[in-house]
Amino acid sequence: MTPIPDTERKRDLLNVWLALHAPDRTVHLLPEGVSFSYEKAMEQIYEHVMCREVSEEVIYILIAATADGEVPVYVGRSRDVCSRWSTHLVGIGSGDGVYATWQSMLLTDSMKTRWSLSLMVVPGSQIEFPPIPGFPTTIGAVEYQLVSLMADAYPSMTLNHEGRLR
Amino acid sequence: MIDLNAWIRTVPGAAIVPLFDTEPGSLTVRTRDIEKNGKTLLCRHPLMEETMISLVEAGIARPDFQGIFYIMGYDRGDQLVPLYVGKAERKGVKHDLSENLRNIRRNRHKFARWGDGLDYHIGDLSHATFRFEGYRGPRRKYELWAQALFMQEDPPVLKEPVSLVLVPWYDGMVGPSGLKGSLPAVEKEVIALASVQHGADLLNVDGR
Repeated sequence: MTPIPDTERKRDLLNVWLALHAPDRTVHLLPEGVSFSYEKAMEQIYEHVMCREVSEEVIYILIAATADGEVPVYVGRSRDVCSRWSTHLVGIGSGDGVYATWQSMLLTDSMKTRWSLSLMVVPGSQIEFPPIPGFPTTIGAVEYQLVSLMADAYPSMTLNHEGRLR
Repeated sequence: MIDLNAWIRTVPGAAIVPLFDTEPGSLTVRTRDIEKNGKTLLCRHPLMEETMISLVEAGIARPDFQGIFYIMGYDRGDQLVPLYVGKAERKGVKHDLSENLRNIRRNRHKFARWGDGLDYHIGDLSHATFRFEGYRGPRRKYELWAQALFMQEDPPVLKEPVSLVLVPWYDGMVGPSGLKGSLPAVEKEVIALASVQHGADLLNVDGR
């Protein structure tokens, strides 16, 4: 493993950004240790306000509640987060293609959740400050800052392959 | 906001070289025809090739080398206008040393992602420019590159000289954030800044 000396600082930056953007923007998908259920996770998403926000691009972050704290494991953006997450959840259930990594990291061999999983959804217009001080707050720039921070803060936990050192 | 150019000008080990080999005193890019497959290829500048080989060979001799970070852009003296930001990592998908960097001195097909083959920058840009036969059609991404770089495509004449910033990335190096970062993390930092500070010119699609 290549040493990344600023890991703790990057974790702090992530934690601050996530904590201050989380209120009223986070939905609990599945608790820890339960059988994976596409239907239950989608029920949670449909009940959330995000599906009414399709006119605006949102940034979404999948968060795993691990023993070491809440860890962001995937970040993306979409104008239709419900449709996007339907695709992601089907993929997690099937483990096909790129989702093999998602399934093996998020679920046990018996298809139970390793951790409680939550989804944070932040509309572009509600981004209050950049994750990295002095950086832009456009939605694409914020997405890439989060990918960048996650790559070094949690190198073994990120599902964004484009930000991962091989 | 953090100034991307200030970081580019001070990052240790960075080299700025011309990307294309051009006819003397002109912006016409030299090309070469490959008779066996009917391809016409844009020529890299000899200094770019020498520099890339030197940086990669020196890098892979060290255990802390993560790969090559690069920015294609216009070097306008007081500032570099980024056109495309990317990287060639040391470690490959299947091998400890990526095929993109292995045997770099003779590896003109891949050449740290700037090779002549399809799915590599020079090969794909040549394909989009000259539309020779390939196992697939030209990529839209490189048609946009050609439109951005050339005032005319055959013969290919640049709108202005194109430079390549090459940065050998080692453990412990610091990105624009001021934090030590891995090569993929720093690439994302740079794209995030370039997307706002040079959004009209940047050809990277993601991160905007």
